[in-house]
Amino acid sequence: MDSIRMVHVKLLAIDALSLTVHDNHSQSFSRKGKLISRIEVVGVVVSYERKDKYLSFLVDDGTGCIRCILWLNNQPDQFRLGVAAEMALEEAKAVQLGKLVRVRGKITMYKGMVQITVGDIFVERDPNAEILHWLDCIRLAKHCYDPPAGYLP
Amino acid sequence: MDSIRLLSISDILNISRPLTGAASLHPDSVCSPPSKRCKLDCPDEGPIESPLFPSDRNHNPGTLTLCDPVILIGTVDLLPCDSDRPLYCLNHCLSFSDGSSRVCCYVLDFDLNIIGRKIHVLAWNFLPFKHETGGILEVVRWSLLDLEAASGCDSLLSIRPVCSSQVADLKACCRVLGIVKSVSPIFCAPCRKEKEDSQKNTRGALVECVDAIGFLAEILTCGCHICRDSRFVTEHGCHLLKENNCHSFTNSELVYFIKPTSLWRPVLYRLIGKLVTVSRLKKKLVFVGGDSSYVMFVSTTFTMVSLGRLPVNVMPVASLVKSENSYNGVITGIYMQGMVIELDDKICVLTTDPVLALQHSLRLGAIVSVRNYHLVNAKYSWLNTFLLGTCLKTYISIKSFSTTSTRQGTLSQTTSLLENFIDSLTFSAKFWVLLLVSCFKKKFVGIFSHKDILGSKNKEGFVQTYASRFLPQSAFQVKPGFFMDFCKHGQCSHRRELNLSFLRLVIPISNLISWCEVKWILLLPKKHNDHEMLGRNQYLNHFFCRGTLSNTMIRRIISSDEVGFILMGTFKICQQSGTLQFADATGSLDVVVPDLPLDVDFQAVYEVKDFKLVMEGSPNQVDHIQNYFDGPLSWRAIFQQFSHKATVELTVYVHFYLKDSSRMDISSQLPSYMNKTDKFKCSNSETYHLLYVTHKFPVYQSLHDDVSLSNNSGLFAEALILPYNLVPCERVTNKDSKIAEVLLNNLDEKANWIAQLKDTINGLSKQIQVSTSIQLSGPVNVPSKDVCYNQGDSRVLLQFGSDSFNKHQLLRVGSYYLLKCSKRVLDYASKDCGDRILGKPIVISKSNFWSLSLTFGEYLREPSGGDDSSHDERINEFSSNEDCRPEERSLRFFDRTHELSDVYLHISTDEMDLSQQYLNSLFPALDEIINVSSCIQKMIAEVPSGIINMLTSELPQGNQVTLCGNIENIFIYDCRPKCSVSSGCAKACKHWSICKVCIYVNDDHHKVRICGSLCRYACPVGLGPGANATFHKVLLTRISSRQNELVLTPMSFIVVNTVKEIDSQCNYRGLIQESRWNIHNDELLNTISLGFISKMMQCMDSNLIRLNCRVVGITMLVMENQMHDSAELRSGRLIKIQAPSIRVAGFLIDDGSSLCSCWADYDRAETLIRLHESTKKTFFRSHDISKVLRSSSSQHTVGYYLRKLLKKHQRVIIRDHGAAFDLSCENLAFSFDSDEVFSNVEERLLRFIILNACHSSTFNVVGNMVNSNALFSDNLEFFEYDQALQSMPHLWVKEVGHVDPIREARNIWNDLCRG
Repeated sequence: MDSIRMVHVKLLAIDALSLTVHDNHSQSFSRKGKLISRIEVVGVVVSYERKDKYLSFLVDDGTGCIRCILWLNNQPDQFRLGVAAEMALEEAKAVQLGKLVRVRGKITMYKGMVQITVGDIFVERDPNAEILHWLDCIRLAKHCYDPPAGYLP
Repeated sequence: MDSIRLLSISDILNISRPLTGAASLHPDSVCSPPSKRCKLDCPDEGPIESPLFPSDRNHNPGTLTLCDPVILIGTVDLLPCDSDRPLYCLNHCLSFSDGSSRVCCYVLDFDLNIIGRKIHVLAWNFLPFKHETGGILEVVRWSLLDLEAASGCDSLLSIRPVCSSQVADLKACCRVLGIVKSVSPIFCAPCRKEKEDSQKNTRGALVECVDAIGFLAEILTCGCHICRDSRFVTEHGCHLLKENNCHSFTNSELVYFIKPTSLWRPVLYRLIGKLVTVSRLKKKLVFVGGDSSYVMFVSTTFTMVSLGRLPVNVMPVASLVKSENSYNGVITGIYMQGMVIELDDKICVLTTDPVLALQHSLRLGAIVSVRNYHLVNAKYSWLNTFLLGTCLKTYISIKSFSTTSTRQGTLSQTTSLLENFIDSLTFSAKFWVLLLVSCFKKKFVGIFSHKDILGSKNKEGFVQTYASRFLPQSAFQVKPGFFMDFCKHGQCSHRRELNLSFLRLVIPISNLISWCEVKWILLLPKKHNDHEMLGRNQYLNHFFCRGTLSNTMIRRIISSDEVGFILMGTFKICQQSGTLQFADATGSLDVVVPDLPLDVDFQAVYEVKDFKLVMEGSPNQVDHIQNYFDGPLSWRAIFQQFSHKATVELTVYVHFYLKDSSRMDISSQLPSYMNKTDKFKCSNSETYHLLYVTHKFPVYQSLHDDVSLSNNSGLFAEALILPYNLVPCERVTNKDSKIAEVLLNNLDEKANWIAQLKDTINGLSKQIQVSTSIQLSGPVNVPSKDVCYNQGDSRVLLQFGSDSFNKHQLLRVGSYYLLKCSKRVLDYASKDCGDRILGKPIVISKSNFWSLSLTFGEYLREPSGGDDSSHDERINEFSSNEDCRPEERSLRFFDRTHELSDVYLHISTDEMDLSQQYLNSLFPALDEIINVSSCIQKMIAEVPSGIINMLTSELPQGNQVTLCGNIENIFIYDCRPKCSVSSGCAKACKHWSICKVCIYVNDDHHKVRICGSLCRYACPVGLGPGANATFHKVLLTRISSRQNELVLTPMSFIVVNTVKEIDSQCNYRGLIQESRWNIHNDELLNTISLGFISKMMQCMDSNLIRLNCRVVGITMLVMENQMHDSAELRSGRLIKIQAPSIRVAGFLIDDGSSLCSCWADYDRAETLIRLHESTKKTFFRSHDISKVLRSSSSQHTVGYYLRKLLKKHQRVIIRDHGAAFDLSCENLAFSFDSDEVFSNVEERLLRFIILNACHSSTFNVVGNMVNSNALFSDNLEFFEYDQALQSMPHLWVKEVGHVDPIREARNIWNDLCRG
C-alpha cells in the first residue's frame, strides 16, 4: 500500500503546481513517483471569487499561488441534515483577503492547472504557522515524500 | 353590661397618650347614657388609675386601649374664630368640647346636623399632638343626645341665628342649589373694592384694600328652567328640588366663602358630593390679576348652608358627577412630611400643597378615598410608576381611621425655597425631586447639615441647586395662586406630563448594593440553579487545596446607561481591605478609578454619571429567592431608612474615570475643603526629586488592629531616583534652559464651576521650569551651577507613614512621582542632594509627595477635559451593545493613557531626544514583565537556586519574575482567621486577613500555577477568573527535586490590568482542562522530539512519540453523562464533576506522512473534539438547538450543548465505519441508552461535533503505540468489522496540546540543520 495515498501531503505551492497527472481520468497525481490525492497548503489569501455554488480563491505561500475551490452546494449533504453545507458556508465567510489559511483538500485539475478542491479551511491566527509549514514541508519531503537517495523510478 | 364611664377631654389630655375607647364592642348595641357622671370628672379625685387600662401595659406599645366601656359627651362645632390652631387645622378640623377642654376632631359619618350639637361619642381614638398641647379626637361612632335629637332642628350652617333673617341685607338674595364639587383650601388674597361700592355698602364684610381670607367652593347647579327660575328667593327657599326628570347638575358656579364664613371650610369639605343650598349670597364680578373676571357668589354674614334633598326619581348624587375619578385604598406609607402618601403599597398620592394633605387622620393604616386626582405615569429609566397627583380640587376623605398610633409630624409654617421650588414643578419632576431630596438627606446625613442640604427660607440648598441643573424649563409650571388656580383649573396649570425619563437617580450606596443583589439573582440564568451543574461541595479535596474552589465565579458588567443611576460620594481607603472606596452616609463600595491622581481630595464629593458596575459571585449561592422584589429602588426604600442586609455573597465594585466625574460645589459647606495641605505648591526654596516607582510592597499586617504604627507602618515601595530634580523657575537664571512646564492639574480644571478653587491654587498655575541633567551628554549649554544631578543607580526604599496609607494604596508601579527634598538650601555644586540615603528608607509624609506625568515631544494639548481621542478610545473599550458577547465586555483597570496626575511635565522636542533617551536607558532596570509562555520556558530552562522546604521556616530562595497573564481560576484554601470562603472571589468574604491561594494563569495556549499566601491588602479588586493581572516579584523556586513552582511571597504584588465578563461556562472549561494544563504536561509536550506516523511502526510500544497532526476522521465516540472522575487521578485525589464524559474516542489522525488510528479518553478526547472551544458558528444560532436544549445564550461551548443532550440520552455511541476509507464522516451510526426520541436537531448537533472536530487546526499529541487487540479486548466486534482500521498503527494519546508554531519551527530548523 502506498502510505501517502490517503494522506494530506504537505506541499509548497511551487511543488503542488508541478505535480504530474498520473491518470487523467481518475484525477490521480504523482510526485516523484508517489501517488497522492490529498494536499495541505498554508498561505495568504490573495484573491477570491464568491459565487452561489462555490468560492474560488488563490493561496499564496511565497513560492507560488495555488487555486482552491470550495463547493457550497454539497449534494450528498442532504443526508447529513445540511451540516456540512453549513460548515462550508461558515468557512467561506472566514476566507478573506490577507488571511493566513491552512487548506486541506483533494487535488484536482482545472483548465490544465492543479487546484485544490477544499475539504476544510482553518484560519491561522499565528503568522508563524506559515514558517512552520515551510519547514514541515521540507522535513516531510526529506524524510517521507522524496524517494531515498539513489532511487530511480 | 358594665356601666359606662364618662370621660372628659381634660382627662384624656392628662393621660397624654394615644387612646382608643368605646362604649360597647358591639357596633349595633344601643347604649344608655351613664346614669351619673364618672367620679373621674370630680376635680378632687386623682388621675385615672390603672383599672381603666388593660393589665398588661406593654400589650400594645402603640395605641392604648381602654378596657372599660367609656363614652365622651361634648359639642362638635367649628373651630372658633380666635383659635390659635394652624392653617391646616382650620382647613380640616372640627372642634370637640365638653366644657373642660377643646380638641380637634374628625368625624367619620359626618352629618351637618352634628354642628353645634351635643353628641355621645360611642367609639373614638384620641391622639395627642406631638409637640404641642391638645390632640385629635377621631370620632368613629356617635349619636345625638336624646334631647338634641328630639329638637328636630334643620341642619343648617349660619353665622347668625336664623331668626335674625329679617335684617338681612337685601342684596344678599342669591341662592345656589347644587352639588358641592370641590372646595379650595383657605387662602388669603389681597382684595380691593371699588370705592363707590364701599361707600354705599357700609355693612359689607369687605373692607377696602384688605387681605380677604376665605375659600372657594365649586358647586354644580342644575340648568333646568325650574331650578333657574327658583334661583332668586328672598326668604327661605324650598330646599326640595321639584319633581322633575330634567335635572342636570352640570353648571359650575363658584361660591367665595369669605371671612367669617371661611371657618366653614371643614364642613363644606365634608359636604363634597352632597346636594346643598347656599342662600343669602351676593353675586359679584371679581377681577383677578387685572385681566380676568369671574362672576361668583360671595358669602355674607347672613349666608346659610343647608342640605338639599333629591326627589325620588332623580339619580343619586354620586352618579351625578360623572367626570370624577376616585381611588380607595389603605395608607401604607406617608413620606416627606405628607407630600407623598403611599396607598396599598403600590401607588403614591402626590400632594401639591402639604396643607391639603395634612389632615390629622391621614395616618398609616387609614382607609381613604381620593377623588378628582390627576393620574400621572412617572416614567424614569429606573422606575415606572403611577402617581395620583393632587390639586386644589382633589378631595381626600377618610373612610376608616387607622388603628395604629402613628402620627404625622407637624409641618413647619414657614415655606423654604425648596418647598416653593418643588411646588413649581410638574408631577413627575416633583416626584423625582422628592426622591432626590430623600436620597441626599440619607447620603449626606452627618456629612452636611440639614440646612445645607435642604436650604432655608433665604438660601438655596444643595439639593435644589443640583436638581435645577437637570430639570428642563418645561418641567416647571406657572402657579397662578390659589384664586386663579382654582378658577382656571384644568386650563393651564396641570398640562400633560413631560417625558422625564432622562432624570436619573442619585442612588444611596446601600440601595445600590442591595439593587445589585436583586439584579444578580435576576441575571443568573436558571441553569445555574441546577444543583446538577456544579455543586460547590463536590470540589473539596482537590489536589493539595484543602478548601473550597472558586470554580463557578460569574462576572457581569453593567453600564450606567443601562441602570439610570448617578453615584455621588466621597473617596476613602478602606482600612480593613485597603481598597479604594466610594462612600456616602449609607455605605461604601469598592471602586476602580484608572486615572486617579495621588492627591485626590478625600473630602470632596464627586458625582459620577458614567460608570460600569461589576458584580462577581458564585451562582451556586443563590438557592433561595427571598423577598427581593420589594426592590431597593422602590420609593419606599428611597423615602424611608433603608438598611441593607447582605443576602448573597456578592462582590460589587464600580469602575469609572475621574475625568468623567465632577466635583460638587460644596465648598461653602465644608470650609476645610480648600485648606488642603498636600496640594502641590511651588516654593522658591524647594527642590523636588523625580522618582520612578519600581515596586510596591503590599501591606502584610492589619492596620486597623494596631493604631500605633505611626512611624513603622510597614508600608513600603521601591523607587528609582532619577537624575533630574525639579527646581522652581525663579531659581533658574538662564531663560534658555526652560525645557519643561508644569501644567495645571486637569482635575481641577475640569471642575470649572468651582470658581474659587482656581484662586487658591495659584501656586500651581505658575510655570515651573525644570533643570535636567542634559549636560550629561555635553551639547546643551546649561550652567552646571543650575543643575541638580543625581548619580546613576539610585534605587531607594520609600516608607509611608500610616497617615499616608491612602498615598501608598494609590501609588502605581511604573509611574513617576515628585518628592520634595527636605533639605532647605541646596548645594548646587554638590552632586547629591543629601536626601538620598541608600539602604535607609525615605519616609514619605502626607505633604511631600505628588504624582507626575511626563510627556515628550510636540506639545499637543493640555491633558485636560477635552481629550476627545482618548474619550473615543474609552468608548470603544466598552460596548454596552446587547449583542455584545459576554466575553467581549471588559474593563481596563490600569490605564496610563488616561491617568491624571498632580503635576504634568512636558519636555519639548528640542530636548526630547536626549531626555527620553536617557530616561529610556533607565527602564531596563525595571523587572521585565514576561508572559506565561516565556515563564514556562524560564521554568524549564532555569534551575532555581534553592528548594523550598515547607516544614522549616527558612526563607524561600529562587529567582524573582514578574508575570502577566489571564487568570483562569483561583483556588482559595486555608483562610485565616477561620471562615468559610465560598465565593468565587476572595474579596467577597469579609473576615479574612491572609489566605492561601492557588492561581492559574494562562495565555493563549499555556498555563502556569502560582501558589502562596495572599494578604487581604494585597488582593486587588477584580482578582478572579477572567481578569488579566500582573504578578510582580513572584518567586520562581523549586518545591521538590523535579518540579519548579511559582510562589507568592510577601513581596509579591498583584495588579489587575483588565477584567472581562465571564459566564460560568468559561470556568467549567477551565476546570476540566486544569488537570492537563500543568507544568508537568507542558513539559511532556515540549521535550519529546517530533516524529512521523510513518516511522511509528519502528518505535517500541512503550516509547512515547510526539506528533504534530490533525484529526481527519472519528471512528468511534462513546460519551456518557456521568460523574467525571478522572481529572485528578494523577494526584491520587478525586474530583467529581457532572459533565459529558468521553469514555473513549477513536480518531484518524494525519500528520502529512501517514494516517493512524489514535485513541483517547476523557479530557484528551475532549480537546481533540474541540469540546471546550466556545463556538461562534451560526450553526447554533440559526437552528433550534438553543431552543430544544433550553439554552438561554447563543454563546456556549460545544460541550455545553453536548451535556444537555447527554442529560437526556445518558449514553451515546457514534461509529463511522467508512471513515478509514474516504475520510468523509458520512456513514455515521448513532446508538443510545435511553428510550428518548432522537430528534433531527440532536442528530445535527452530533454531526456538527464530528465534522467540527475534523476541521481543526494542528494538535501537538504525545502517545505511545498500542496493540489493537489489547485495546479492544472488550469490543472486538467493532474492531473486526472495520478492516481498514486494523491495518493502521494505533496510538494511545497521553497528552494533547496546541502547537506553538515558533517553538516548533525552531526545533525543526535545528533538526534540519543537524541533517
